[in-house]
Amino acid sequence: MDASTPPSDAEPAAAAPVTDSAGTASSEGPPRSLWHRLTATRARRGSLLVGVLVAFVALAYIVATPAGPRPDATLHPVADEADGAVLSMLQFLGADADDSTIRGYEPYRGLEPWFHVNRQGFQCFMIIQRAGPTVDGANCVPPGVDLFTEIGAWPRLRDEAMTGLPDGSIIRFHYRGNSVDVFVYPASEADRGSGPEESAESSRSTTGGAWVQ
Amino acid sequence: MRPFWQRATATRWSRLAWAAGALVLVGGITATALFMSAPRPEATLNAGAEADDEVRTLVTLEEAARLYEIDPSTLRAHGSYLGLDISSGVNAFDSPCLVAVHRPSRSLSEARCAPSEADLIMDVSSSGDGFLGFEGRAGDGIVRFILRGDRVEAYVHLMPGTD
Repeated sequence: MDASTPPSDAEPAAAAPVTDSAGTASSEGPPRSLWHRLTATRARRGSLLVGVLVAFVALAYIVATPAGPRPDATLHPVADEADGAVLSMLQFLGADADDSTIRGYEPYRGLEPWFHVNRQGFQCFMIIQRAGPTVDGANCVPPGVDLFTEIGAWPRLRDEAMTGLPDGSIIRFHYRGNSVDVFVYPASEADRGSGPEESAESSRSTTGGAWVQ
Repeated sequence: MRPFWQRATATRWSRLAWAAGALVLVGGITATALFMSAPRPEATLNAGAEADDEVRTLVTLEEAARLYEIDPSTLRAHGSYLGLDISSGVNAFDSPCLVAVHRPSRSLSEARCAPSEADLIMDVSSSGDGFLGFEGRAGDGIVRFILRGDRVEAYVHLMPGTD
């Protein structure tokens, strides 16, 4: 289509000046609609098509992005090597950790997430509490698998980090690489039972997750 | 004779029809791509009969499960997968629970409970307590069991080069 093509009969005329294929203004010819100006030349139609495709891709990306719950906290790395307490917990678990991969994150309610890669290549996560110290929630997964661990408010453990949460609640830690997302899931308080009264263990082993040595 | 493009977009209605068609096309492509890229479970285990006595006993006696205070009377069997008998139930805090029992060693491989608001996910390692490797499947890794309503989906994740 050249620049002198008249607008469609069905289209209301726009008040903008006519432009030719080079984009220069012309004082001749009737005013044309925005659509006709946008599709006046093959180059413009191509640009419009590319723009529409980019917009669709962006829209699809937004729609495809998981719109899950927002984390209650995001923890950032604070250590890239294990201290004595962490080393002792790794030893307690029998973890064959590659020392260069150990990374610690900010604590949440006194719970410290620690990440490492073991000699087999599994990505591992554990939660350490300095008071004790104790380790819980150890979990290892192959690379590329969503890595998480969780700590529960179980009456048998009487975990101080869970104070204020109803029994049966969990705190889930999702490893994101450069950060750890924390999600708190309070248990329903409507139908709570009364668990047996037992004291917490001074140093408990993993209560969930699979530990791969 | 006008070019096809010009004729196809001659009126506002024709342009709207083109835009609607493009939207439907892109939406269809996007939905298909999302569907194809979503991880598919290797198995889906539907809830069946009540769990048997061995499972209920293990849940009652083994410390890893006692912690969660699972009500044994609520346990329903979902069948076996890679040597693991999977059951679901509810605990004293009204939370859904999953249990994996390794029959050959008569042991509880894993148990997990989470409030209804959270996805209930249970990872079982191929080198977990009581057994070495998944039955009928070579390689090291995990099986991730996820409770979806009254069924359990199983996803197998093995270390590259070990299967």
